[in-house]
Amino acid sequence: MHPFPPLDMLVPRHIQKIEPYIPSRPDDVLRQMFGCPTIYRLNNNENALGPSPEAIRAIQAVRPEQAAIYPSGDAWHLRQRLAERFHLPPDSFIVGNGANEVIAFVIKAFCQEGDNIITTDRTFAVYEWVAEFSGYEARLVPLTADYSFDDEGMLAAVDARTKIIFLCNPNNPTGTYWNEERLRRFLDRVDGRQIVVVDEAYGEFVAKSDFPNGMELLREYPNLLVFRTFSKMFALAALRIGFLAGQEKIVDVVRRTCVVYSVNSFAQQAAIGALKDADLQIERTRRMVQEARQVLCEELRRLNLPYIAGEGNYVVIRLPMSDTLAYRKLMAQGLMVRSMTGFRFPNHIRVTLATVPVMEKLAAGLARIIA
Amino acid sequence: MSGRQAVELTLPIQAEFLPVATACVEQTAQAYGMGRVETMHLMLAVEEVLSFLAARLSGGYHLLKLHCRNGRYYMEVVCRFPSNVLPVGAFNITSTVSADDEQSLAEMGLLLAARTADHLAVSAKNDDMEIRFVKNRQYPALPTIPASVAMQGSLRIAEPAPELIKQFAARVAGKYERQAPAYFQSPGKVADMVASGDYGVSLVTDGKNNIMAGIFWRNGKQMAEAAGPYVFCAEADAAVQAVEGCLQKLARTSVLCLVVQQPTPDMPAGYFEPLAQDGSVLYRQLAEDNGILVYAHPIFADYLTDGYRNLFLPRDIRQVENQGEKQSLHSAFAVRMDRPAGRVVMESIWAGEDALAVVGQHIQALRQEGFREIYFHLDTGVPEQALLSPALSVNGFKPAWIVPWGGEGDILVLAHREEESC
Ligand SMILES: Cc1ncc(COP(=O)(O)O)c(C=O)c1O
Repeated sequence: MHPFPPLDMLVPRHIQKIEPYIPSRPDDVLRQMFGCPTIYRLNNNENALGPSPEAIRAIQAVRPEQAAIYPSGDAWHLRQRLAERFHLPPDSFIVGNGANEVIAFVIKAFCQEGDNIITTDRTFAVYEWVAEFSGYEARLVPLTADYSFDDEGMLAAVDARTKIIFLCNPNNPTGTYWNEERLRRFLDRVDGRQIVVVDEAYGEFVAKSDFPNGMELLREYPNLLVFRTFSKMFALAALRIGFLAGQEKIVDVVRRTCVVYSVNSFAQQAAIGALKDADLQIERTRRMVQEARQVLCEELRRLNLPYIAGEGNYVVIRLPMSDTLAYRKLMAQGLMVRSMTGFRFPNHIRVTLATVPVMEKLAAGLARIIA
Repeated sequence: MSGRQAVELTLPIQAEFLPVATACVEQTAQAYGMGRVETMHLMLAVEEVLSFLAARLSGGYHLLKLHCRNGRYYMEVVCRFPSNVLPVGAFNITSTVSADDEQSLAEMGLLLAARTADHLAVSAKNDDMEIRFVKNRQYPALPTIPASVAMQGSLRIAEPAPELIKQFAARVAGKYERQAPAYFQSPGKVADMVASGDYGVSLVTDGKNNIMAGIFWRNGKQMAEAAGPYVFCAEADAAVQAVEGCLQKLARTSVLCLVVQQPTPDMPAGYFEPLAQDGSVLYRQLAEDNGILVYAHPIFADYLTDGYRNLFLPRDIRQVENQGEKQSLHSAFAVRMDRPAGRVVMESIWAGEDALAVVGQHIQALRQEGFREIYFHLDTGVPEQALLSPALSVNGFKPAWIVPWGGEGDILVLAHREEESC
């Protein structure tokens, strides 16, 4: 046998420290392991309604022969449609293999050794992960007592090596958001010195009139980048497609680091379809989420379980037991939730708001495990 | 710092080179600032290990790598050599120089080395064997701080600065005395343990920087082990904050499982699950468990089945048994001895036909050495280990608890109680 490579020397220190992310197993494997006949996936904030009629039509129109041909390397047609929808030039968009991929593009574009990014302790983990496995420091500014992003704390954490500030609006998992006034005040104080990313992965779920539309702020703030995804509201998570928007000059910098051809043709076609009846999809999904939130919260009050229910299609629930134990007990009943220890919320779970019958099943499952 | 102060020496495994090895250890210990007595003990231990190896070698030219590391609160010496230089059984601490030698077990080389070191471990890594021993640095024991203090202002999680860690240790020693691990008697040592990165601490203070609560843990790759929580005020929330602080620090690290042996009565309810029936061992997973395949011999299969059901752990138990197939002749066991605690943990390196006898010799030798607690960690993720079950059971080992994700799979902890020894 050939000698094993000297990993201590080949693998950089910051990679040695990192743990790989372990995704959940496929349903058939989980059903067998937990001995449950069906699994309700309430762990990834997917949209229970499925893709919109136009998106489904676009997927059905896919011809198998197309598989032989490379996709449009820069999602040309999709960018034209995005430009029309958001009244921005096509070159102000970069489409990625999920919003996750564009997070990596942005960090790669602006950070070098010794730089840092700013995020918070209890938010979507990918900003922190990508920074750390790329060898940059992720500064975690704790959320405030009411679970919102701490503007003062984040500004205080900025130093000469800070390149990017990540805001998740509304925040995953707390559902809190900054209104337009607060976001503007923050952007004014950053005053263009750092890149500010506003991740609006769940933006389409918010109906509040004071919720800022990042796309409209782009013209005024040249250091702003906005993330959106087709995974959540548009229910195309399996196809992996998301995008960023910003002023062309900044986007041009990010484009230097992006992987061309990473977004496949079918995803691009489905996303174009999804934009056609986007308003219908948003309207019907918001209705489902609203109803689910109402039903679930009522049940939670009845069960005496504290919860954090803000915007977005998810609710965080505080349990009188370890969340990882609750995960296993709920899985045994076919209810898959997200345990929140990994989000630094021990003894909390996050559940996706889905249809009312499923919310009722979840409430019954919770009642059983706390009995 | 520990990595940067490492010293490595390669030398032939021959008696003539003994003084070279001891001189290296001596000089390095001095450079690390170890005391005279500890240095002497390390020299004695390396001498025993090398003479043991040299005596066992049947000739030929073999190299040994001697690796010294400054662990801040201890010095570590690792002797590493290719595992094929010695026959399998020779790695057992009970192996004697000559097979029919009737000399007392007490004269065996590695056991002698273990007498002067604080920890000694024999283990296999890839194609190498390692004999690793550790000598703790001596620290002055300092006056303890009175147990409770009046709380001023509100509770908050504090950054563990060395001064706070020392205050914490002194308070723990003052209030919990012998119920807390002995290292709390030496606050400087506790500060060094945290600074080394081997240990972590979550501290809760009041508005005047007085320690109100804390929990202390040893970081591991997949498993961390905590002590506490220790509480110095009447506020129930203090322990909760300390525990949550610990969980938040361990979240998003490689640690999957946090174990607390002998938790204090101040442990808040609802954060941990009991592993041992009497509540003396608690644990909590830090990540979602989606199940694994584990291997068990029929002897322990029922215990595992019941245990997994009680813990709500999804496990696919595959039963394995020797069905007359030929096994390798010799077994070898890794032993981790913690002399100050009087505790030994045995693990399997190779399972072989002589397991029954070799396990028996280990128990006898370890009892003679005065070890009161003997545990065997059986890794359910490794099918060959399940085959050892009969030899362990016959020698008096009984299932005590399961540590989920403690090894390749879960660890079935078997305990050997003194009264059961032959
Ligand atoms: C806040 C946030 N941003 C981005 C993403 C990534 O979405 P995708 O990569 O599926 O587009 C997610 C998905 O969970 C998210 O919660």
